[in-house]
Amino acid sequence: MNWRAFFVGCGLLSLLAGCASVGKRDLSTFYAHQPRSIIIVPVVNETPEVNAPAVFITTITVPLAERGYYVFPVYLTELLLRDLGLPEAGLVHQLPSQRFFDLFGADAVLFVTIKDWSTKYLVLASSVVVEMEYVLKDTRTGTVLWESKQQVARNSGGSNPIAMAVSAALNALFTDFLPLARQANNQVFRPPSGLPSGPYHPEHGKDRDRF
Amino acid sequence: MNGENGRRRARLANQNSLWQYVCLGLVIAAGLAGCTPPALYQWGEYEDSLYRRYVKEDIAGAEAYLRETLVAAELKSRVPPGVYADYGLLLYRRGDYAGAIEKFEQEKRAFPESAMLMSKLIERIQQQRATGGPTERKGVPAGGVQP
Repeated sequence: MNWRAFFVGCGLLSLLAGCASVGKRDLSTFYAHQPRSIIIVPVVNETPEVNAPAVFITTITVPLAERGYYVFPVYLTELLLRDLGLPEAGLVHQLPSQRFFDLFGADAVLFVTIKDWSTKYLVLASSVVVEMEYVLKDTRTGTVLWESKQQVARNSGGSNPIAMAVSAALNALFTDFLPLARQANNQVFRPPSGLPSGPYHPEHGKDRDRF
Repeated sequence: MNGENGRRRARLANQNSLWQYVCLGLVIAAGLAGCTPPALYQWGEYEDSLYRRYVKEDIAGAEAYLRETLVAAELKSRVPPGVYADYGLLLYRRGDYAGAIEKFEQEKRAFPESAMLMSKLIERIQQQRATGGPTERKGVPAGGVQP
């Protein structure tokens, strides 16, 4: 057995596996309006967790900018919108997309809605879930360029019902949603269902076959 | 003679196992890395600075994190999008208008996509300075209906 060949083979296989691409989606609208800059506006929260938007918004800039887009600073954006008399995300999401071009000069606007942000208890286990809906619109035409839904869940379970009940109660108090939000945002913009690379990414214009 | 052969075989075996380790390392690295490309920017403490502002409502802490991020990024690579502007905003809120304008200019140079917004902000600050107008430090450089 030639070990060298074997290991090199394994290496190639694992590379291929990492790049495996799943189904294609139609991104022709996206390519027709290829944005350079994206503004992330305050997120709409459909859950009773009042903290969710604040935690969520801290984790979205980095993964989106790493896809090669100019991302407007979220904190500055929020303050400016507030200053314009738009303190609520719900109002901001109803603005005509053109406004985000007039006000900020952004090519596209990203609307995020938090659908789920909770700890669910089953008989013997608990699971922490975050779920978001993402819609990217062109600011000049208002056309939807891309949309996605992302859910991340983390389960914890055990065999001892009493220990489980105790840990579930503790989890509810100290559940840290931050890593889940981060994971969701890290996944959602990547191929095969994410956003094609933007102008600051070395693969810009070369990765169409991965989506 | 026999000893010489044995040594050579041992040496070969050693080389072989070295190759195995190298290959094994490559396999593990490939598996871990998957298709993740290297990061485009040095983000440093940027997310922490946001977390300080949004969740802890600790502006001073956020400013310290942001300053560290900026200094480290300037040394190592491209400053990530929004970091100059974000820092400029904090300087503005402290009343350091000249510093804020400088940072907004830097953002504009680094990322022309921000030019329109940065120019607007700079213009407003200059107007405020010219009129000696309201030294509103809580909000943003705007006409200021609300803080």
